[in-house]
Amino acid sequence: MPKKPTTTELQQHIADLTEALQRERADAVNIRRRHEEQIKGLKDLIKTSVIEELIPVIDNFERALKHVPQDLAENEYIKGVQGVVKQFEQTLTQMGVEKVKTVGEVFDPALHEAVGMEDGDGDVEVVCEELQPGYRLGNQVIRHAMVKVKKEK
Amino acid sequence: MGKIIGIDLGTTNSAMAVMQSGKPEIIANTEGNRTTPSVVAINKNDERLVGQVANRQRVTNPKNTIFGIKRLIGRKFSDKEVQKDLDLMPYEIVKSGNGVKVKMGDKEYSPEEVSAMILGKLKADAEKFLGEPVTEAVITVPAYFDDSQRQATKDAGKIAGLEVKRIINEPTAAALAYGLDQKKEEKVAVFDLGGGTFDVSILQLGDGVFEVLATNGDTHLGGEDFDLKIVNHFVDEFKKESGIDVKKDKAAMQRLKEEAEKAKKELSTTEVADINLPFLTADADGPKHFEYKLTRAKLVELVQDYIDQTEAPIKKALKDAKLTAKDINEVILVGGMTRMPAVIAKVKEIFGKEPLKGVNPDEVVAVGAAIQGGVLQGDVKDVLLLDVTPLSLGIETLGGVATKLIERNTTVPTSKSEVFSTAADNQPQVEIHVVQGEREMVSDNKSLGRFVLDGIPPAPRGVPQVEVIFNIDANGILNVTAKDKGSGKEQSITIQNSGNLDKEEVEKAAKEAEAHAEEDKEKRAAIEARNQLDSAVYQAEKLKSDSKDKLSEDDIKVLEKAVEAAKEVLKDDKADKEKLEAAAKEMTDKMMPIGAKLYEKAAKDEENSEKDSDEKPKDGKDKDDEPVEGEVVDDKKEK
Repeated sequence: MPKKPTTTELQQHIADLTEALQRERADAVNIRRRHEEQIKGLKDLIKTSVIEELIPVIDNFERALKHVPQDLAENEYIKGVQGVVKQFEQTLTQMGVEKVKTVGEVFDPALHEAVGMEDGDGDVEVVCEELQPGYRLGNQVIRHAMVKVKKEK
Repeated sequence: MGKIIGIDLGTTNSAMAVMQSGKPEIIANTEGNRTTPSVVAINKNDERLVGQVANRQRVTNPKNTIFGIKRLIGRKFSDKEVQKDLDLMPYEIVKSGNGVKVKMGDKEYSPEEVSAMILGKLKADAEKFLGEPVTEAVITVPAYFDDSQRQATKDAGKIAGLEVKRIINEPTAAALAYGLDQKKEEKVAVFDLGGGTFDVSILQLGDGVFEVLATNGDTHLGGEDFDLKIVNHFVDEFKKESGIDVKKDKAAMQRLKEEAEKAKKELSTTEVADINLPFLTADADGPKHFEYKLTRAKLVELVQDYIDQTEAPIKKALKDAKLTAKDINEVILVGGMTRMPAVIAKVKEIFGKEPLKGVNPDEVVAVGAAIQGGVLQGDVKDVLLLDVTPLSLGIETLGGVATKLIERNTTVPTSKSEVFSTAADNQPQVEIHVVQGEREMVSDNKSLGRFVLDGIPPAPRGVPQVEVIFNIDANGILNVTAKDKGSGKEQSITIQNSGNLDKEEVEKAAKEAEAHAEEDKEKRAAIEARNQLDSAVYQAEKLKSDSKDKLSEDDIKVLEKAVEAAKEVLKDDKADKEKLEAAAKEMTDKMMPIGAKLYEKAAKDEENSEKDSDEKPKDGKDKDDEPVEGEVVDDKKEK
């Protein structure tokens, strides 16, 4: 026959159960809070991840326009394409997407990713060349601008 | 009472996890990433940067950016590995007593202090994530770490304000993440191919311990080598095509690098990856594009040497453990590179068995550490074992439809209530028929019991409010109560074994539901359409009788004709959804102008009680507002 539990054992058991319940309660509250935060953040998250996927396309549009042959510069067709690219950029602006400021700005690793460093006299690190534009949505950086940095006075 | 977090303090990247309600969950850092680069820097403004942000300023500040600190922790300056790093690392490593220190800014820091900076960021991010202070942790180290390296890692935790409850081996953590425990006698091989290092460990489980029998590896072999190989291949191909060497073009190289990583990942699931990089670079002749198809076969050809390099350390580890590949019971994969099919194939070839899958190989070590933390914290599961309802539970509503109140896989104890109504005028009683199963129709599900709630005061259909409450206690005992809100009368039934189903029964039910999903949906839709038409007829008749003196004779005739036509459709048992819906639409189309006229008149007269008309939409166009009436009727929208 199983031994009857003592009062101490039972008290311990109650203490264990109470603690376990408190822990579960706390977990539940925290999970709910995080869930709400996630739902709130979800809209921005979807927006940024879609834009992130689109950025390489924008890059290529810009590259394409940079490489328009001289004799075609005044071509009406090219002008039309330029309009399309401009429209794309305007749409992004309306969505709250901004380009990260680069050349001439003080280097900031929160916004810029340095891939090169040029010597210079002085000790202020300044962005001297943009290799790939960066984009941000409000305070959130969607893609860091890839830059070269130079030391200036 | 804080939680014990599990930390995988890696050479290149670190990750962390925590137990939440008995399940491990990866903690994302404040930037939203599930891993954090193990990089620390101090910039010239004396700001401390940790993680990705430190990485991004590395080239501007190479002397003060510390990475790979794990290679130095707990080492003596005279150690072979340290001497090797002296040349490899761009930052300064200095002798300090017997040990080493690294220089950042004007100061010298011990590897413990640098590791503590990484741990400090992880701690802060975990606190933000959990919303409570974090003071205790389990940290993993490689199996080959000696006492001094382990002690140094523990000290790093202390400096960061973490009490390190336990230091565990990375392969042990991986085994824990896969639920392997010490109860069974087993030999496990852990194959860990990460970003920069390769480790293999042979573990012995049993007798209440994880014993590391042997370890081996290659400290300079990992995913970064694979990527470099692919990039170089792209550079060669591009040169062949265009004659241009892009190696010096940093922007182009960055694009190639990103594309190489993407292609490598893509080729884990597809056979061909399309590389399309327009305007990669330009020369005097104009822009040059890179278009290339990288096949899985070509990728394997490129990196086969690296994959083969894992074989010798494995063989050696087995030999040291005095085992052969056949003695190994389980193989566990750790590290992002183990997603590559060719790597998996190699592992299979060596061990002659399928490796365990399921846990993200980048996160498996942190997950195991969190599980260890959960064990140390005291296993909650032992005291409170939570069960789930294996099948959905609900009641029968008009037309034999099974209306679910509690969905399958809901964790119990739980309760749910919903308000239903009557299907006919002056209906004195409702029958509550409790059913279990996944199918849409009651006849396809299992009947658990039924009871009658009577004494409902006479009222038009849809008016009485009968609240049905389902309550399942922790033992799976289901109690169903029906309560007439008007009279306060209630009836209930208790069903003992709603959860007592064996696995096969549950699987069968779920499979059947899936197989019949389409057909069931159609059936249910047809019944819903029929109920809607029935309700429209009711509304029309009510409109006619309620407002007899206000309606013109023509209007009454229109209504009567419409009702007759609709009833004709209802008579046909085989009428499909489209036909029923069309009839309902016709009905409401005819009613709408009549109803509108009544309202206009009412507004003019300013006599009609507004409340009354609000409660009874006459046009029936807004399905959501209108109760779908039934024998027992769902009064609210589901969900």
